[in-house]
Amino acid sequence: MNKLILLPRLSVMGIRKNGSTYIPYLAAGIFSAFIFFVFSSILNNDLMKKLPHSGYVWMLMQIGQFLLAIILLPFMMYANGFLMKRRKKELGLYSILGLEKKHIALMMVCETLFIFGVVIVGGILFGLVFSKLLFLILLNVCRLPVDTAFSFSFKAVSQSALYFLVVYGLNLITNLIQVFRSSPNDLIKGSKKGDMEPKRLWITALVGLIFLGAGYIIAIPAKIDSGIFQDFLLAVAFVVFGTHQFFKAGLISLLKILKKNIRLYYRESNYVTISGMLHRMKGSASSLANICIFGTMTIVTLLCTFSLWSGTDSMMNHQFPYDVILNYNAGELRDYDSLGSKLQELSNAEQVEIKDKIEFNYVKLHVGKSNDAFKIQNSTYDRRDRFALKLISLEEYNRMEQKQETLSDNEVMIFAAGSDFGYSRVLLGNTEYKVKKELKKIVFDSKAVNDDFGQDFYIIMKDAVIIDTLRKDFKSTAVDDRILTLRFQLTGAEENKQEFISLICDWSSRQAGYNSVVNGIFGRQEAISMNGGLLFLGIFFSIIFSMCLILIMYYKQITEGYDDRESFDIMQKVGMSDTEVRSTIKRQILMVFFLPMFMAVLHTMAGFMMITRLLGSLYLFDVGLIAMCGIGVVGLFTVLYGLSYAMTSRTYYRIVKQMNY
Amino acid sequence: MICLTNHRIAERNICMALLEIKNLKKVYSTRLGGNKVQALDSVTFSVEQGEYVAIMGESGSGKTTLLNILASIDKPTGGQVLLEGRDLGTIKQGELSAFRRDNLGFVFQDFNLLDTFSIQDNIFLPLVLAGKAYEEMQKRLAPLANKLGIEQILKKFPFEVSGGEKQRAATARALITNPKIVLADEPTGALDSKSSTRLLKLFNDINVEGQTILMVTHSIQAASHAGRVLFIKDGNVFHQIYRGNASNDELFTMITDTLTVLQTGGGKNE
Repeated sequence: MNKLILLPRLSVMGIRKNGSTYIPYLAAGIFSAFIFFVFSSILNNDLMKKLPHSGYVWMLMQIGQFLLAIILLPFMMYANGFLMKRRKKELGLYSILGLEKKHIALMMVCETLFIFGVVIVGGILFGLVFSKLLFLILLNVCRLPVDTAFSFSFKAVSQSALYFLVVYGLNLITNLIQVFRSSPNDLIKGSKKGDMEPKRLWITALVGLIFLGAGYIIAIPAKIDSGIFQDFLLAVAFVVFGTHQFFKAGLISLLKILKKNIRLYYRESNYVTISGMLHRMKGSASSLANICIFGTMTIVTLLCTFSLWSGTDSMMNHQFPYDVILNYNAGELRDYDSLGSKLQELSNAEQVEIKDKIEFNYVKLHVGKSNDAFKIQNSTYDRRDRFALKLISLEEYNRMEQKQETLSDNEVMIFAAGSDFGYSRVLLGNTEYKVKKELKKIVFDSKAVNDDFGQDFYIIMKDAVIIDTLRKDFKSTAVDDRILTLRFQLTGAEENKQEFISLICDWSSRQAGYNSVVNGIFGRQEAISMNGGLLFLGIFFSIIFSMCLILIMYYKQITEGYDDRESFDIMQKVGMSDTEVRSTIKRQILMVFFLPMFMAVLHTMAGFMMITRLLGSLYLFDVGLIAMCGIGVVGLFTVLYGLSYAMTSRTYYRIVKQMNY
Repeated sequence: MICLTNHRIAERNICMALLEIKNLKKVYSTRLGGNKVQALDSVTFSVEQGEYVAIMGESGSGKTTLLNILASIDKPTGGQVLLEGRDLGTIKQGELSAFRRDNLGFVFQDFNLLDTFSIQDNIFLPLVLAGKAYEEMQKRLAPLANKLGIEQILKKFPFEVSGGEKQRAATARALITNPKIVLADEPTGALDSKSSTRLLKLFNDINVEGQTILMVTHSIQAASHAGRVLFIKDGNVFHQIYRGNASNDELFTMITDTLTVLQTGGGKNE
């Protein structure tokens, strides 16, 4: 037979013979290509740039694709490394039978091309079938107008093909290097030697602990400011590295301690487990660490996704409590009456109804805060120093709230839009005031208890004279900078509301004393589309992370299954019963089951504060809700993890049981 | 039934044979039941307490099948195997492992030591499976390790020691349970001649101390150490030689002669 026919045949045969390892590899590849293609298609669709409010979504998809590319590469290389380990013997046999290295290399090229072809064709086929559906789902979760003009994009195909060509190309290169560097004897032998015990175990353990600790220390008190993303990445890197070191050293030390305990070690159920794990401790430790890391990633992604999803309403209400807020500089406003009549006129014309309208004056001061004292702001750049005081007279407060509160000259009431103020006195500039009451709820603004950065305080003072004095304490200018604010909701058809807002914006901006307009409807749509995009990403990344997790778990079980097969065979000959084999396997599995799971939950707990702050920067401040989501997600993850473990363990058992007796 | 049981007890009292093999028959059929291969036709022999029996035969003669049935790893199609009068066929599947562990010791051609265990832990394996205390295991190991000359390598791992040492370790594992009978499958098959000689010498010593040994082998040299040699051909016991007062060398010659007959004349007789 011709070489050119034989070699491709051998490579296809090699894949078929190793089905139990290659099929998951191919499946994972196809799925990855599918996701990559979908992201690429969405990004390369003109529609995405045309739709209103789609700016954030487009940006998020781009970040998503980038992250996908970064995560998939090392993962595919890891999977490939595993495959090569399993095939070394076969390659060694070929080279003993007379295939030269260049033949083997050619065979591997064929094989890689075959795999690449299957993966890219499979991924794109699935992509073509499902990308439109997924695009519609994306539009739907982002509450963007559904448009079916989604079209096939050649650029998406070429991008996906190029990316996976790079991935498999790198895999091929590492494989070729391995083949050329090893002798056939090395290939065929397969090491019987156990992993050498790493020297200076305690140093590894210490390094691991230091990095884990450093990661935790960065993560736990991280404050929201411009540095949080750097902090986040740094913490993640530290924890990943620390986890690896810790698992390596921790696991080995644990096993060694267990082995030293004679009563424990020489017991039928522990004996085989402990020695087996010690024998392949390095591989075990690194796959356990990887399982732990992917587990954490799955949990965190799911946690954020669910929190965003279930917290959308509260986020919206806090960020945009009113459909429209019109602000005027009260001192410059010449024509107050026409403002009211214009609103009435426009609302009649556009057939919308103005509801819950509220108007009041306040003086806004930008201040720094320390404990119970508000001082003149030092720098506008530090977010931690950017607090706003909104001073309102008691008269206006009583009017809006329909209450009969009284205050003396040195008394105030205070309302914090974020976390509670919590002091019984307040120092404003150099004057001390008694806090008569801290208000937990007001009709004209919303409160989010856990918002503890850059927040607003409303301070209700006895009258305008006192407010003005205070204003002068904080600012040198004598200009009357009271702000008149009008806040209201709209009812009516959606497009009429939009039209009304744009008309009122247009009109207002031409009036004397115009300050600003907050378009709550537009703002909410922007935020919802961003949330939707995050949700979409979150779901996909959770799936990708779980896929990585399951595949690593599966490969770990397979490798150990093949390693252990001979051992269990021998043990059965020497007199281990089938029930004993089963219980030993169960124990072995349980031990490695709980370790990464436990660590993943621990990581999540350490990262929890950071997660709440990151979500806080998206205006989700409901820590209770996030915690509930966290508990739910950990529960869900445990089930998923348990199921995949049960499934992969069955594979393990099947491999181990492929023996004569 | 009662009659049969009485008969069996009576027989045991009379012969006191440790191991009795009666009309053992084994037919392998392919998965679809099409082709049938007869591995054992009708094998009958017995092994007395303290005997050293070698079983010889060509590849495909049924030696391995016989040993597997004796080891309770395989089930016969017909006939009986009695160990101290107890029929192996009546032992429940769940109890077989414990039965093997408590009554039989195994020495394999390829050692079958576990790479994950040190030599000492390999030897302890059957005792650990039997739930023995560590002190008890230590007590049993010390004299055995001394006798087999493996004291120096107890802490080492299988990949660190030679083939001969591995096989002596495997022998220690077989002996540590004080088995009623040691079943050895080509124990010298993977050893060089010097290690083989040393191992066979060991087997002799153990046998002299009272251990019953049943060894399946190709090697004339190995068989020439036994007290009795059984020849199997085409699933039947073809011939047997008792050592009597013969030396190893004389037995060697007798075996060679028998093998010659087996290979030339034996075939024509059928």
